[in-house]
Amino acid sequence: MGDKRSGLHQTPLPKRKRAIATLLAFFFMAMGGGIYLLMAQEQRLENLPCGDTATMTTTFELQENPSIAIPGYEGLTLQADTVKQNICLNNPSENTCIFYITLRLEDGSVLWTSQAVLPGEQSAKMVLNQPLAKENYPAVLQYDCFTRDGKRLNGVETKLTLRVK
Amino acid sequence: MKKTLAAILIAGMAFILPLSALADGTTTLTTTVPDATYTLNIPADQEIPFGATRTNIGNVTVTDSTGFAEGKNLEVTAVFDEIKCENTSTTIPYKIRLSLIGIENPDSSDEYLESGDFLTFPGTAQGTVEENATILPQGVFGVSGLNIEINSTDWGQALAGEYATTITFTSEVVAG
Repeated sequence: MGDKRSGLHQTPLPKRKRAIATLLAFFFMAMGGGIYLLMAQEQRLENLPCGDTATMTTTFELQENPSIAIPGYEGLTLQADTVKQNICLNNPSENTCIFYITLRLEDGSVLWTSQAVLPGEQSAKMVLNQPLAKENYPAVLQYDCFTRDGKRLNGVETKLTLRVK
Repeated sequence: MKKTLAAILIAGMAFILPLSALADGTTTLTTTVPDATYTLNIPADQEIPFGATRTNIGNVTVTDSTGFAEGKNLEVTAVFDEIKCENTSTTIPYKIRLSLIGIENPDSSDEYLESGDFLTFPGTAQGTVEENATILPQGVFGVSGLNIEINSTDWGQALAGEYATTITFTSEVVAG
C-alpha cells in the first residue's frame, strides 16, 4: 500500500525476489573480486624487479621446445658516464633453454655479460665494464643458448645501436 | 596622478613584452621515435638420423615486431660450418635447402641458404615485418622451413663418432 499523503506508491519486493536479487549481487561482487585479483596478479608479474622471477609454478611437465625465441632490438638507450644501467634483458617464458647474454661493441670489446638467465626470468641490471660517452655505438647482443644439462644449442647475434645519452 | 602612473606602466609593458618575444624567438619541438623491437624464433637443435639425406629442422620466423619505420626490413644471416666430431678428423658437410610457400612442391625448391647468406623479412605498412622471410629479389615466395641435406657419399666417408655443429643467426634492422 502506498503512502497516499505523499503521493508515493512503493510496493515492497516479495521475499523470493529479494533473495534472488541478493544472490545476484553476491555473484557479481565475487566475479568482480576475481577479476580484480587476476589483474593484480598480472600487474605484480609485470612489475617484477630485474633479476627476480615469478613464483608461480605449474603442475605439468613442460616439453622441450624445438625453437628458441630471442628478443631483438634496433637500439638500446644507455646512460652516459656511468657503468650502472637500468636495463635488464629477459629470456621469454616459452623457451626451455638457458641464455647467456653478452653485449659487445663493434670492435669486439665486451661491455657486459649476464649470468645464466632461465626461461621466464630477467637478467640483473647491466653493470658495464666501462662507462661510455654520449654517442651512438654500433653493437652486438650475443645470445648463447644451452639446455639445462649444458648442451650448446643454436645461437643468435642481434646487431643494434647503443644510444648513450 | 594615479591614472597617469597607470598609463605609464601599461605603456612600459607594451614595450617590454615585444622585446621579450624578440629576445627569445625560437620554439623547440621534441619527440622520441622508439626503436624497433621483435622476437626472432630459430630452431633450437635437431637430431639428424644417420644416413638421412634430408631432415627438416624447423624455420626461422619473426614475431611480435613493432616500431619498424617505413622502408625498414629485418635481415637474418646464417653462419654454419661442417658437422664435426671431437674424436675423429672427418667432417660431414651439409647444405640448407629452403622450403617455400606457394610452389607446387614446397620442400623441393631450388633455393639454398649458403653460410653467410641472409633471409629478408620485409617491413609492412603497419610498422611490423613479415613473420616469414621472403626470397628476394622476387619477393614472392615465403620461406616455410629449413632442410639439412647431406650426401650419402659424405655419410659413407664419416668415421664413427658423435658429431655436432651449431648455426649462428645474426639479425639486423636494415633499410630496404
